[in-house]
Amino acid sequence: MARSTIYNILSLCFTYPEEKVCSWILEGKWIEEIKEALILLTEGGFEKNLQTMRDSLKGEREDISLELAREYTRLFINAFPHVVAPPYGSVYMEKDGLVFGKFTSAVLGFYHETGFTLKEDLHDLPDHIAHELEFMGILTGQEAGTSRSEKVKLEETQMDFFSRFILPWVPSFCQKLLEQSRSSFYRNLGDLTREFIQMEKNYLGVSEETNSQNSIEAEIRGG
Amino acid sequence: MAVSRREFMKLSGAGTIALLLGDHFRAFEAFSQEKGLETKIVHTVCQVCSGGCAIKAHVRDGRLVELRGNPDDQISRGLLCVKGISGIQWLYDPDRLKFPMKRTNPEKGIGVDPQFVRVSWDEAYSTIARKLNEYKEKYGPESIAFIMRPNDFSKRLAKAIGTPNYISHHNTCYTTHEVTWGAMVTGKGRPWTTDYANAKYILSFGWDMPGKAKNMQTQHFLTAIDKGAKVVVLDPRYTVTASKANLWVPIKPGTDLAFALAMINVIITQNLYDKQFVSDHTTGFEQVKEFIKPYTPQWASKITEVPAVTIEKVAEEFAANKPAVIATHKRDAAGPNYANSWRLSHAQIILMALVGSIDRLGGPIMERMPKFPSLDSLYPPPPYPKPKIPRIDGMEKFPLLLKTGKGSFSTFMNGVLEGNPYPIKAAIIRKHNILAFPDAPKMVEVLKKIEFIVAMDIHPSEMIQMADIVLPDHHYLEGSAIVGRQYFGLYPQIAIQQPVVKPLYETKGFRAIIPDIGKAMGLGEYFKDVSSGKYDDACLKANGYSMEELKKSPNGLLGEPKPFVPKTEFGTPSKKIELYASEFKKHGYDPLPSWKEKSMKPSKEYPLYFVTTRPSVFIHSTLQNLEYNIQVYPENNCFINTETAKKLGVKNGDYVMVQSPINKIKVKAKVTEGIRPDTVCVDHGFGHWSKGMTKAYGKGSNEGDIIPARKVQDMLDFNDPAMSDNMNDICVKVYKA
Amino acid sequence: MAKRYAMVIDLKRCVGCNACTIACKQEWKEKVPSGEFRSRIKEIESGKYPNVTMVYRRTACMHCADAPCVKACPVEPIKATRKTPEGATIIDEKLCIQCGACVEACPYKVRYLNTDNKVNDKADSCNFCYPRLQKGEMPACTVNCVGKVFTFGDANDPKSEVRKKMKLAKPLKPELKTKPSVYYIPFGNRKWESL
Repeated sequence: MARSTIYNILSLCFTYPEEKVCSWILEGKWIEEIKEALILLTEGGFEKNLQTMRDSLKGEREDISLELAREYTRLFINAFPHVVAPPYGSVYMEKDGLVFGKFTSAVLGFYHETGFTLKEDLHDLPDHIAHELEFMGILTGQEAGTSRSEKVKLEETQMDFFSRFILPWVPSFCQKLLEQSRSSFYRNLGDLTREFIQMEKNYLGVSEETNSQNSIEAEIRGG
Repeated sequence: MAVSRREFMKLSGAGTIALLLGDHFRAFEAFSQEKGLETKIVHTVCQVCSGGCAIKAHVRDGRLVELRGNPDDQISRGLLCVKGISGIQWLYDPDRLKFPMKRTNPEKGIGVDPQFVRVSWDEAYSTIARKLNEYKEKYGPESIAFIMRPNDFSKRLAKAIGTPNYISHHNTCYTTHEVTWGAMVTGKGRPWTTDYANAKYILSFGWDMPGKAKNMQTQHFLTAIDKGAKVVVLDPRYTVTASKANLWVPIKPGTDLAFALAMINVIITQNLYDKQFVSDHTTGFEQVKEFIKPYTPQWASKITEVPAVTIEKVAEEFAANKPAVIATHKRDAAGPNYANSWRLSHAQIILMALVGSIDRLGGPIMERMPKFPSLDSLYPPPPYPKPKIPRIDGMEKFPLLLKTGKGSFSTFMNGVLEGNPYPIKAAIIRKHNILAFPDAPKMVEVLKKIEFIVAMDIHPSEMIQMADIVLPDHHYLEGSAIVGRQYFGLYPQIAIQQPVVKPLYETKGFRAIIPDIGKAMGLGEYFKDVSSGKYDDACLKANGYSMEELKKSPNGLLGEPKPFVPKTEFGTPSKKIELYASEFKKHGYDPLPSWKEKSMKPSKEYPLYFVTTRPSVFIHSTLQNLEYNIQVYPENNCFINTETAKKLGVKNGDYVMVQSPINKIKVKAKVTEGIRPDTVCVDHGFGHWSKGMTKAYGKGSNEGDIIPARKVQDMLDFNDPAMSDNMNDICVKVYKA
Repeated sequence: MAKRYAMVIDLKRCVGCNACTIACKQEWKEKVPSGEFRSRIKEIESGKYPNVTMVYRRTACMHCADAPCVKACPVEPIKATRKTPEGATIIDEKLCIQCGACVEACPYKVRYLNTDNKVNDKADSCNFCYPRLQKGEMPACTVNCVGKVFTFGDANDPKSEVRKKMKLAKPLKPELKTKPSVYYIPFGNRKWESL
């Protein structure tokens, strides 16, 4: 459940900080929760990130809200000079850098095969980082109360989604946040996410071969 | 790999996820087969340009993969042009506007970061409503300007608010054609359909649609050539059309009118005109006959720098090879390019009337569109407030243009800057970019004076960078409408426009946004029951169809071919083509196209003529952000004659400055034999300074920067009924950068 | 009888709009890096003002029957650059060793070596959209040409359009003796053959 908690928290952090999400971020309970979950999984090393993120949220509520909204828009939606870190996998995985490429169809197809789809009134693309992370949150959340053999099967599914649709692009996405984010909140979020992805890679046992660009491209071309 | 649904539902135990905002999945829900990824063909309409080619969109696994023309469509005939096929790149461009946004940096200008923040549609609407109502209250409804193409929905909102200021770009585009055809032939509007395919003689005054790969016109033009049609091109530049012609006449810029007048002279004095057609369908012949006497080929030859024998020969051939047509569209020489361009359009109509090709196969065809009732007639509005105040752009002084409701860019700009006779405080702008305006840097200053700007578009253009509220429009591949076959229709035919894929992000359709704004402003009574879906259905019903029928149509089209019946009556009071335009006389304009020169002539300081064009892979300043298109044509050029370049020490590929009295731009030189030595051409669409257009940013220069924004007084002095912005009527100097 | 692919390009009709260039880029985006093209339009201007001519010539792999690129490919026993049974020249990425010999060898200069690491580092060139042909679809460049410039089909079929058009057409620079499968219908006597 720890992994599920972390995925869901990260997913929310990558969601636009409109009123509800922003309140949740500023309230800060999630920092404790993610800290506890991380402790269960690893030796630590996230203290600094989380502390910086907590610090970055201190101050006048209105000011911080505006800062978060501005930075989010600048990083992920439309910006001047331009969108810094497009949050859609297709942009990194497709040769033409467009959204909704074969990669996106493959992501959506995977959701469908596992019995899920995105809500009708949802207004963003299937391979948005927040959706992909939430999906991993759902998959990992299924493990609660399952037998060992069921758990193994579930983790195979997680490994499949993770190695094909998260690992190939999210580290590059996080790198952009690390290098170009003006806000320490999103910069550290990028760092935290990148580290967590690395942990997941080890946990799920993704081999270097599975990780290779060629196999992903083959996946896309085969579509 | 996949967990079976049954297994999953057992295991999932919805609610076990420690989600602080609720115990349901936020973005996800259970999958059911109807929601699977589709592979299908969707019929819709392209709107890269106004051509409206009907499309077959190929969708595979829920994504658009290929666009093709619809073979049953009168316009596209199964093909799409280079811009049309690029629509996929545009739909899926990651730089697209996605969500409504508001500006948080009060400073505005070139290079200034708006610091946009995403907002909800509700917040956007309530902000817009609050601000517009404030300005309406404090400064009067006239302080709110609409800058967009005419549309029943937005016109209704403007009228409901009570502002007279509905501005569009058309006096940089085709008002010269619109006003002359309206006065002399149709009563309203210009013909868009030209039957080039059946013409035996095609005469172009600066028309180069094949050079822009305009779908329907290029197809028909090439068919005509295959059938042995003769083509003559008058153009200072050797265009693509010129390269296919039998004869290229490098005419002096702005003198086409003299050539046309001399042609009329030859055709009448040598009795070559179609006597039957003239007597049956025209009035004013005797006045023309008298008027044309001094305009001999010899006279014209001195002005145009074309030999008199050539003028005579072209005139004789034009009359002898029936059907003969003069090719026009928008920015050919009879478009609003020079102070005398509207007169050229008048002369062209006379010429085509003299040879009997108006509304005949092989010539310009009057509209055969389905008749769509106006929104006001179907949904009668409550009374509109009557603006007691003149427009900011001075259009009341030009009644023939006023009744078309189209224009005027430059005088709007000057009116706002001068605050004359009142300030413009707010503007709602859609699908118009700063780079489209003459003197674009001045337009930035104009926008700085407008306190509250709402901008709607698809891409983060320069206009978007100046906005206070940004609204993301549907891409045309996401939109819904019904579209008559205007750009080529020999019989009424309607095409469906419908979403090819689910609209991306939170974009909305324009005809949904406008009523929403109206309702938010408290003008809901004007939009009661008004919806685009209902309106489209009513328009179809008025033509004996229904939306259901259109949706079920196997080719996305409605309308059976009908035999072409040439008109014997026209839209003028006399029901005939008025060669001597009584409408012009009535309003104080020359009723016959008396010779006048272009306005600016070469001088020692500015010795060169200036013309413009557009590359085939782009449409104005909108598609430069497409990856492959910008790779094919990375920047614009200054086309310059080899000899002239040599004299200036300029080699092919060098950068040059092109300077007019108001500004200068830096462009790459393209040295060619195919242009007059005294003329340069700079093509349009570049000079993007919005970094939001990541691939277009910083490439080339905007030639519009060097074109002055005309004042109302200028236009009164020219006595031009079309308020032309005279977009090529400057002279320039060129030197190495 | 086996198929023999051929293409005829009508230079009189081509307006140089680059639809074929863009269609090819969109179709083969996963193989063709930024700034490279499998298909291009060459503008050939000739004469002195005002007696000027201009021809727009689509230039891409000629799919030569006697292909210098195939001869130059050193890979054995199966060449990386080779002909299909129908006469299309294709590049087998799995076998290509990126030596660049085929690029050097091409007298029409239509090949290039991919140096963009986002795409595989291989030699690349037009392949007549061979995978599309195998699915019964036409080459992408031919699908939306408003000039109707292209005729493509089986030259071994005496009734085919392409066979008819070939009678009016000639290859580019026949003196190179590579026996191209792409032919051009000249535009009168306008100059069109500059490489």
